[in-house]
Amino acid sequence: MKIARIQNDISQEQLAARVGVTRQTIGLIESGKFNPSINLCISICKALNKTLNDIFWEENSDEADRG
Amino acid sequence: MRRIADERQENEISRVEHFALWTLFWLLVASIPVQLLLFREPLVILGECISVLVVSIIILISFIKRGLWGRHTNPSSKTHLFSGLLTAVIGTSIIAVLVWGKDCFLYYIFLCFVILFMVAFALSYAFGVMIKKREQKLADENDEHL
Repeated sequence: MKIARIQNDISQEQLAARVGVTRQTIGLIESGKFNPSINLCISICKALNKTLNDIFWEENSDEADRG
Repeated sequence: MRRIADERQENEISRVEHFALWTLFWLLVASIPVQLLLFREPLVILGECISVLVVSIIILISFIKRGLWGRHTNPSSKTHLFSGLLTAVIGTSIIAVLVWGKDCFLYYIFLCFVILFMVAFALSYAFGVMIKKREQKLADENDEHL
């Protein structure tokens, strides 16, 4: 999600404003400390012009190792 | 009033409220035997008893409406037995403070224990049946919508 946000050249604060949450919430989602609801996930994807798979799909360990 | 808290903040507010209100509830429950021991007068705990009773009834009705029993158990003979024993022990302990030193003390305690156990067991069983039926009904209603 952080990568997608940087690719779109927007700050956490700007993304938070677009989806209607606080900057702290965006930060916690990016660090994996908060699990957003499906509605919030969809809002974030729309704001970043990405699909749910692009941002929220879990990488398997092989893909993670290859980086 | 318009809500400005986002879903994460709502979750955190709910957690704080949950912890604070359950702390309040158990402090209220604990104050009942403490006040009984200090004052030996049932009227002193009337307000606390009514408050605990009202909250307990609200929780019970809400759980029955949603077909919920609890986090760790299902309705079973074991849980009904445990409910009966727990209620009998706690209730008898409170009554023991009130009838301490009176004639036929042991008789009152024994009678109180048996009655409380039977009533609590019966209520636990009845609520268990109601909750199972309600859970089934809610599941069936959900299937009809699909």
